[in-house]
Amino acid sequence: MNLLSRSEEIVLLAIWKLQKDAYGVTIRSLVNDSTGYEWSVGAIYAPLHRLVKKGLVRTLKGEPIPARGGRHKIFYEVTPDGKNALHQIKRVHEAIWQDAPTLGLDES
Amino acid sequence: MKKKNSYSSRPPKIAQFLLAKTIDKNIRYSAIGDFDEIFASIAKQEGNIRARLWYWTQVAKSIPSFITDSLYWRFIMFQNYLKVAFRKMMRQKVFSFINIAGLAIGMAICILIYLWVQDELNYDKFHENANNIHRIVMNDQNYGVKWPVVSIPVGPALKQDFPEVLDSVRVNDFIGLITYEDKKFDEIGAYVDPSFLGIFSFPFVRGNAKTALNSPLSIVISEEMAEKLFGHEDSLGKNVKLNHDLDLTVTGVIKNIPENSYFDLDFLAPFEIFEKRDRDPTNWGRFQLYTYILLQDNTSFKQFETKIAGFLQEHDVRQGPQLELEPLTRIHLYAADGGGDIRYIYIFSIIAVFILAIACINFMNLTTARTSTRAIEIGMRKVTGARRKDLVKQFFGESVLLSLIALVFAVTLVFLLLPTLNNLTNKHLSLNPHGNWNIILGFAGIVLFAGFLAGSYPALFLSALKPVNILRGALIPTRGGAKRAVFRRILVVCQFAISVFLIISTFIIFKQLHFIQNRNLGYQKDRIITVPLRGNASQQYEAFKNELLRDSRIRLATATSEAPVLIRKIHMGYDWEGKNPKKESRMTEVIVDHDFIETFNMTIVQGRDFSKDFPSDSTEAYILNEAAVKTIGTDAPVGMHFSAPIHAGMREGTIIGVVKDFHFQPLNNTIEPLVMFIMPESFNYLCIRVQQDVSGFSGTIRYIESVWNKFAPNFPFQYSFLDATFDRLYRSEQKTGRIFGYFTFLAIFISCLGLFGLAAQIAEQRTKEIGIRKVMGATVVGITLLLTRDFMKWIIVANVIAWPTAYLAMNKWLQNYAYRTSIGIDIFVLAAVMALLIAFLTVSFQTFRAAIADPVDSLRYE
Repeated sequence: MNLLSRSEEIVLLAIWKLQKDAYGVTIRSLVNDSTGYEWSVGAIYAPLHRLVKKGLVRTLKGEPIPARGGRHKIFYEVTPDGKNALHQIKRVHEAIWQDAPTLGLDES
Repeated sequence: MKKKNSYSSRPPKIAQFLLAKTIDKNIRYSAIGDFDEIFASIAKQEGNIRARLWYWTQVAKSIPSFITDSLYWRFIMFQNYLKVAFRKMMRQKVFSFINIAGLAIGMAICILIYLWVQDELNYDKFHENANNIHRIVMNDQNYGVKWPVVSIPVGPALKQDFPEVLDSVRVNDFIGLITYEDKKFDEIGAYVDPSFLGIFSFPFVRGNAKTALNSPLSIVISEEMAEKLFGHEDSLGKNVKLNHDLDLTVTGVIKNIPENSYFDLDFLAPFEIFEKRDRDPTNWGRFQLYTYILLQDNTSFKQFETKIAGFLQEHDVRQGPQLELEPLTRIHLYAADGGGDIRYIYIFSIIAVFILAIACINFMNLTTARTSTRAIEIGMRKVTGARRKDLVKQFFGESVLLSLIALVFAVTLVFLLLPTLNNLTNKHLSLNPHGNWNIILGFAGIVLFAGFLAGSYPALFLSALKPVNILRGALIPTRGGAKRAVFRRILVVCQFAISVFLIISTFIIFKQLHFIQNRNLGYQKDRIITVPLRGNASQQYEAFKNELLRDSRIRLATATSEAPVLIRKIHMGYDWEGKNPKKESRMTEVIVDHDFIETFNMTIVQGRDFSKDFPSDSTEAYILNEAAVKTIGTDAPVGMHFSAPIHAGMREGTIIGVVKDFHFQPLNNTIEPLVMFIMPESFNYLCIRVQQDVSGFSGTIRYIESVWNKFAPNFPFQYSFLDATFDRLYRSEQKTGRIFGYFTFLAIFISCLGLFGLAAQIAEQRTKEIGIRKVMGATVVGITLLLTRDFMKWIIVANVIAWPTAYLAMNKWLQNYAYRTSIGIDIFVLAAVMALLIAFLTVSFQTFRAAIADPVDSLRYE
């Protein structure tokens, strides 16, 4: 299967975490908060678009909102394929991290 | 309140627009929405200003990446396209040369023809009132006479009777002798009403246009004439003599009348002079002058024409002719006396389109042939991410670039060829883009047209190929390949059909010219010098003639009203014994001297020539031509009573002889009834039959001049050779023939370039086949023929298309001539053979080269 890039992985995970509330603004703020630096527009939307194209994520149209200039919110939702991908990522991560010597730094 | 709030929390419009432009369109919708939302939340928490600041920062951040992403890469790709295009051009120098040269020649011809056509179409458009000026034409349906002249009272009466007529002017042009001190010049001038200068726009260099012609003793001259007469002195107020009997004062100098004007006048004298001298200035029936009227701006000339149709009858019931109008701007191309010919405009425009079509077809054909070898490049580009759109852009761009290069060559070529064209057409055309936007637009049009046409195949067809197929080796899908070959062959057929059409046309034009020049005209036209009779040479004509005849080099001399190459005076009202009084009697009339028939070597078929032995011959004898005898309808015309209308009334007399029909008009016209009689006061020309001596004709001419100076020293001596005058009648045919010849040559040349390229291409594509055939034992001749046969077949098809088209077109053209050559099958066969031969030579060079190649070389690359 296609390997996901790091940014795709982060965005996909963010969407999963946000569940029903995943759209551009929330995804970006979550990613910004958890990584600690400001992601540029392209860095969020380009992987988002790729995920959609790969079929791991699908879009849902929300209600038009005045704050968005009358535009619809575009919600993102992880598809079964996306879930599988997340599973696999998690497995790979855990398998690799397992029995790895501690990094000797603060674990938090 | 809510409304105000939502309004104030809108991001700035310009910033939003910029942002939208820089974001990939796949994510634009949701991203812009997100940005708006964040903007709104910032605006709520930290105020509008901070929000705006944030928004602009986002825009500023996204611009650099936008530039690098799109513009930079575009530039890089553009560089790459250019590089590839030039590499291709350099790698195949011959091809590129053929390709560009063909198109350049085609474009150059188009530009030249365009310049010529534009000039022809713009005659007299420079007048401010050009669209409202019309010439009055009289149309006599009873006699079938239509000529743009009317009588003296018509102009002023029209102005008086119709408010639509703002002004009118009468113009009587003539050749006048202008003398100043010891300088004398014959110039074309005109008697005109003072309104002439207001109706037409001829700018003044000196003097005042409003008053210049008010005095009956004034004269306005052209700049050129002012310089000839007065040099650098001021011309205003100088006194000149007109025809030795009028003292006129120069009151104005106009700029030389531009070449693209129907008028060709060097001086203007007041019409009053003409009117005062006229025998009968109030007669409505003496049609003798040009009259122009200036209509009001919003008057429809068609409507006005119906209003004035019966104008003459209203003033004089005896008048039959109706009046018509002829717009000034149409005179040059549509009127019989205009000097231009709208048919030639059409013919040459069509040729221009033909040649451009040939050149474009070529360009397209060669570009197409070449680009099929570029399939691999297309495949590579696609694999590395080029979209179809990019390839389309690349190929169109490339062929537009090529045609732009061709344009540069074409313009250079135009500059080189313009002097020749000007020489041929007696014009001063120039390629001056300054203020001539049409030309620049035309250039852009040609470049884009040719470029897009040529680029369309590779851009639209090749770009659609699947890279997998290309790179796997299935270069061109076979079905598409076959279709393309057919298409290319159709193009070749078209090219050669046009070429063959032009070859046939040229042959027929030259055949007709040859026919005209070698036709037995019924009189001798060589070794005859004509001298216009003026002053004492005219008054003491007999003495002058006898003095001339004393020299042994001068064989015969006679006088006439018009030389026999062109006799135009048509009269009505002849009468003869037994004439049906209801029948019209229109005949051409020429006044001759006794020895006219002898001088021109004409044949008397019945009766006798004029003779001094019969003194009554000079007052009452007539000689008719055969056509006139046919009109009269008798077998024995000699001795019949005949009378002709002259100034004093009817000249009663008898027919003494019949002259064999001779061509006294261009061969376009049939031989009309002609009547000849003697009337010394109407002699205009002296025709002298001379003999060549050791010095050619120059000694004889010097002698004639010395006699002239004895008789008429105050008139310049003028002479012309009759055969040269004759040739001038057919100058437009000769020019057309020559221009056709050039164009045909170029069309063939361009077609051959294309064929050459195509043959090379095909030979190259079939290298392997040829190699195998040779290995199997094919001969060089066999292979050459194999490769050539295909082309020959298509050229024959081209001939089949061209023959009937050319036959129809040229048959139509020949209808202009009452006496015409036949269109024989020989011309068609000759054209076909020529086309085949030229094509064969072009193709066989390539095919032979392919055939003699060593099969080892051609098969080794496998």
